[in-house]
This record gives sequence, C-alpha cells and structure tokens, in this order.
Amino acid sequence: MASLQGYVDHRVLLILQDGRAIVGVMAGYDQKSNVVLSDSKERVYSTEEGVEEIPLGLYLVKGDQIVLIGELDEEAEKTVDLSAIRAEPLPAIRY
Amino acid sequence: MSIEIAGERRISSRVVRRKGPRRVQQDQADILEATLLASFFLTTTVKMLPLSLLNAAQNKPMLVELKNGETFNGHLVNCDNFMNITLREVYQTNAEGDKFWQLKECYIRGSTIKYLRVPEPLLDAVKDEQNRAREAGRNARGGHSGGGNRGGRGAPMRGRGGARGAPMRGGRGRGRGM
Repeated sequence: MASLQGYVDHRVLLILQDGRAIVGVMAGYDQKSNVVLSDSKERVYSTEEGVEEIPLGLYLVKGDQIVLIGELDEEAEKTVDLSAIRAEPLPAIRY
Repeated sequence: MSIEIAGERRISSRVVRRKGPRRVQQDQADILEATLLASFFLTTTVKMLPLSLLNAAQNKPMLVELKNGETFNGHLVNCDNFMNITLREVYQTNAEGDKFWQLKECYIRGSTIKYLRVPEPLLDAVKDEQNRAREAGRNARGGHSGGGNRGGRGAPMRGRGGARGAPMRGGRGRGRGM
C-alpha cells in the first residue's frame, strides 16, 4: 500500500496535471491525496532562460490534480544551479 | 515418511532443519517490538490534514484556482468535507487574466478546484492550536482517569475478590498441578 506518510515534513516536488512543477515542504495529506505544501515555489522551466522559481507560500493542492509527488534530495538540490538549466516545460495532460 | 519433531523435519534421508519454536517466538517478539516502535514514531509526527487547514482558514483571504484556470480571490466563509466553499468579497479573473468580475459572495464546488493558496502564517497558527488542544485533552483525560481509578477501586475489588474465591474453589486442579 503506497502511503504519503514517508514524505511528511520533507521537501517534495509536485507535478500537476497542467504541467506545473511545484516544490515545497509537505505538511500534510489525506486519503484523497490532497496535499498541504508550505514554503512552496513554482519552478518554470524554459529552453531560453534558466529556471524561474516563483515563491508561492502555503498551498493546498487537490489530490485529483496531482500527477506525481517526488521526494527531493536536499543535498543534491543545494549543488544545483537553476540558472544553468535549460529544459522544455512539461505540457499539460491531454485526455 | 516425514516426522516433525520440534521444528526438525526428516524427509526420507534428508534432514531439513527449521527454526525451533523458541527461535520463532523470539523473532516474532523482535518483529512486534520493531512495529511498535515504528508505529510510535509514526504517531508522534504531527500531520496537517488539508481539510483541517481549510476549516481553520475561515475568514482568511485566499486565492482559489479552478481546473479551468479561473482564479477567485476572496475571504473564506465556509467549507465542507467535499471542499465546496463559499467566499465573500470576491475578485474573479478568467483563465487568460484579461477579464475581471467583482462578486459579493460566491459558492465554488470542491470538485472544480485545482488548488487554494492561503497565507503562510496560517500553518503555524493551526499547528499551535492542534498542539494546544492535544495537550489540553491529555491533561483532562489524565486528571479524569486518575480520579476515576481512585473512586472505583473500592467497589470492583470487592466483586472481583468474591469471584476469585469461587472459581478457585471449583478449579480443583488449577492450583495444585496438572
């Protein structure tokens, strides 16, 4: 049984159905996978400029919009230079 | 022919040594201890349920984005378990961000919500309140159960003492061996 308990109070990356990537500390979750994310930042990827991090604050994301929740390695994150990354932004989910 | 003797099974000439009953019990005890410790640690991490946060956010300003990209900025009036919400003093924006409406009150069905943005200090405020409520509940329960034990100890003991006498008399073999 997959549970989100292991991610609580960890920095996670959330990918939503519209292609948005949000990083934040997961403060809580419930049975429907609704997630509370604190100190969250949206990462906007672009092929021309580096990654733009938009601070968003406290987020309550509906579970049905979440595609993926990944635990971030804090150590690895510190060594990453976001301005050097060039990447295509994720497209939204098409049904 | 196979004979099973305390965990050792002989299959024809081969001896398949299995764990003796005592070893199995010790392993089971270790597993039980490990799961108890794990569950203890799990229960001590404070979880913030999304709906609890929402209920605590009443009268706070927030931004709601719907699945179609429209945004609603307003103060939360009420919410329910489906995350249906009512907002007041609402500024609605369409998905492109070029049309604006002002609404005194609106009702948003939970199933249409993509996410909600609430003020950051709210999380700490709700966590403190939960901890305070838990401490208060623990103190109240500790006080009540202590008083209850003191009061109840007299009466039930009498009954139990009397009951203890009877079965002992009847259970002939129990005290005196097999």
